[in-house]
Amino acid sequence: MQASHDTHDHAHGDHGDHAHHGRAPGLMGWFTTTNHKDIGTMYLWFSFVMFLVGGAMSLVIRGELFAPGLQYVSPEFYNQMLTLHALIMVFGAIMPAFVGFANWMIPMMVGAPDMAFARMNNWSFWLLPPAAILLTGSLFVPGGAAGTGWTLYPPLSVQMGLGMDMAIFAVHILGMSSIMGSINIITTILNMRAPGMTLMRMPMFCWTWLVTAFLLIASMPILAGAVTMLLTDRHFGTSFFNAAGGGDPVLFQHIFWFFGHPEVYIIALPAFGVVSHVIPAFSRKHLFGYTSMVYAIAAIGLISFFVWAHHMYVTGIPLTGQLYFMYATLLIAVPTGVKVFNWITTMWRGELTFETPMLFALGFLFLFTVGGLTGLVLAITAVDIQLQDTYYVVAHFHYVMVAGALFSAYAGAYFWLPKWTGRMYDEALGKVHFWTSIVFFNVAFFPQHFLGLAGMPRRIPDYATQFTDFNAVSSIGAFGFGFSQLIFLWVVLKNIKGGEAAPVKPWDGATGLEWTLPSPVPYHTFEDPPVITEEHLAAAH
Amino acid sequence: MPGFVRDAWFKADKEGTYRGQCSELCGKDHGFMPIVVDVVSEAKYAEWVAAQQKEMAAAADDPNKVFTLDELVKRGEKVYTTNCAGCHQPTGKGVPPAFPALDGSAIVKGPKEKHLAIVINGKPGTAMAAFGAQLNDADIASVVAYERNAWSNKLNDVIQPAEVKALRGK
Repeated sequence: MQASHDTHDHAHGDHGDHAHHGRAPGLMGWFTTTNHKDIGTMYLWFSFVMFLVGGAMSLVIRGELFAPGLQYVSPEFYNQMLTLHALIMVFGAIMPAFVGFANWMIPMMVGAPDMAFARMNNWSFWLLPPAAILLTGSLFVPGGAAGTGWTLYPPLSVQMGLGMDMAIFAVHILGMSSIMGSINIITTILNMRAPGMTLMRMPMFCWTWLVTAFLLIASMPILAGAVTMLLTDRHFGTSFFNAAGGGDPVLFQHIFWFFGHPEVYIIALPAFGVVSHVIPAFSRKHLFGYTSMVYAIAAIGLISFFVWAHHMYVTGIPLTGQLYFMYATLLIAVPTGVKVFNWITTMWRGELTFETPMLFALGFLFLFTVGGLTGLVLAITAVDIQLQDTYYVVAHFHYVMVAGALFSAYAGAYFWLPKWTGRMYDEALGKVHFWTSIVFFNVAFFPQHFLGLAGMPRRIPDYATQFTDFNAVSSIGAFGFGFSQLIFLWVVLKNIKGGEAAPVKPWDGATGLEWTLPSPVPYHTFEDPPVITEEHLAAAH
Repeated sequence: MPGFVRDAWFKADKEGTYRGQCSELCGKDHGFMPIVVDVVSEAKYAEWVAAQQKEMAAAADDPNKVFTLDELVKRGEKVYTTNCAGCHQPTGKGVPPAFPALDGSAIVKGPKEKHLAIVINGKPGTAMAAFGAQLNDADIASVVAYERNAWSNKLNDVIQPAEVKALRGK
């Protein structure tokens, strides 16, 4: 707690007084702020802007794929779109969104006054805009952006132009930002919990972020290493991945996926955390099986480091390797199954109501499970050899990334918005947002399973005519889904401008320290550690 | 994949034309790389093999033919452009250190048996592949003769296919 007192010149108890204790006035205030709520807000807005940018790119892709033949874009621009769409959505939208939630909620959930390293917190946010500029700006340099897919596989990535170098530096910067954010989160959770908030009484969102932060610290340097090797191959005459110089392109795939698979859970675990708050609140019950949830998260985090080569079944890994990676991958279904079971059991005989956060959490639960099951299908080596790099894979990871992570982020945003702004959002508009999203999502992505099973490869700008119908349906769904997201922007702007004042605890089933604070939360909270009572705790006892 | 040869197989139950496509993003024309496999009966396949063998026999070189230097260099240049120039460059300067220069190289200017052996067997541990199985005796003789007479390597060496034949398997 010492750290935060040092950074706020006189933060002592005068809760409501924004004029004296807020950030500096004007734009400079946002550059220099060290307040976890300000930084959380900036993370959330940044991620939403990047989400719209990445979404616009996906509409270029789906527009081109509406009909066979090349209509609007050249194949090389198409490749750049699909690469930037993925990089921006993963590193620019989903990851910063959950870091934004972490910044806002973790200090309030554990009863801390701010994040442990407040100035580093500021720096880890302000690294993001330069990385975003590098990524989007690379579209305008000679040769255009990287067109390799987000996996940046050599030899193609060794041959690309300047845009590739910009993507490499963007990945470096984003990695640094993630590592700093993780150090902050781990330190806050381990050292700054209020007395009585033991680890096993901690809200589930904090637990998921604790494990996620360790995954980030362990895996981001590996990605940084991989892209640095790529950079030296490109410019300094090394041959790590260049077969002609004695290197090995498969080496890159091993290193990349050793990062890449934990990355999947870096995105998924905080999403699990949010849902573990929303479902109990609207079921008016405690979370079922708290302890098993904690162990399941830890198990998922650990196993995620030992399954990477299931992305590489067709690279010629030996049969024993294929068998090992298949069984190890299937093993992850066990702790994940425990979590799904616990969420469902939490709802069992609960007094359910279906406000927007609950709708998104249920959408998550249903569609994430669909994506999880197609993941099990793909884990089977013999099947995966057929389906490798087809639209089946595209459908699979959009079910876990969009319907999983994004829906969970929406659930969290609607859930905590009244706490952040002090006003209730427009419930009717929220419900419209949910129903358009879930319908159009399925229209966009469900047909892609059939395309994949029929053999349509991913990352192609043109396709054989037998794939036309499903692609047309998918494109209609994608445009519908994309424009539905503007409803969310409308809801948030409307909420900021006005609306019915939110009570201290707008959801009567919600538990946790954040619901003991006034709405909107004051600029500084928990300068004195709160007294923890049983009713604040997310854990069932 | 560069540096690796991978194979894949499938068992076809029906005769006909089977189609596939490039699956790993490989560049701007990734979407336009079709694969076609014709599945035919045993008898039809035997017929096809016989026809191909006849064609190849007709196109094959007479192994005992004696070439002149001009003939060798002319033919060797074509073989060089198709098989060697990608790494050693049309100028013979290579891309050191990965691909050494042939222009002025000690091996090219040294005894021809050693030069021929490297082309036939490759050089383990480097990117230099063994061309013995891909090129016939006349091709190997002519490309080595070309290398020994091109650029600044004016050795006036003549190499006959029979010499290559004698060196094979050694």
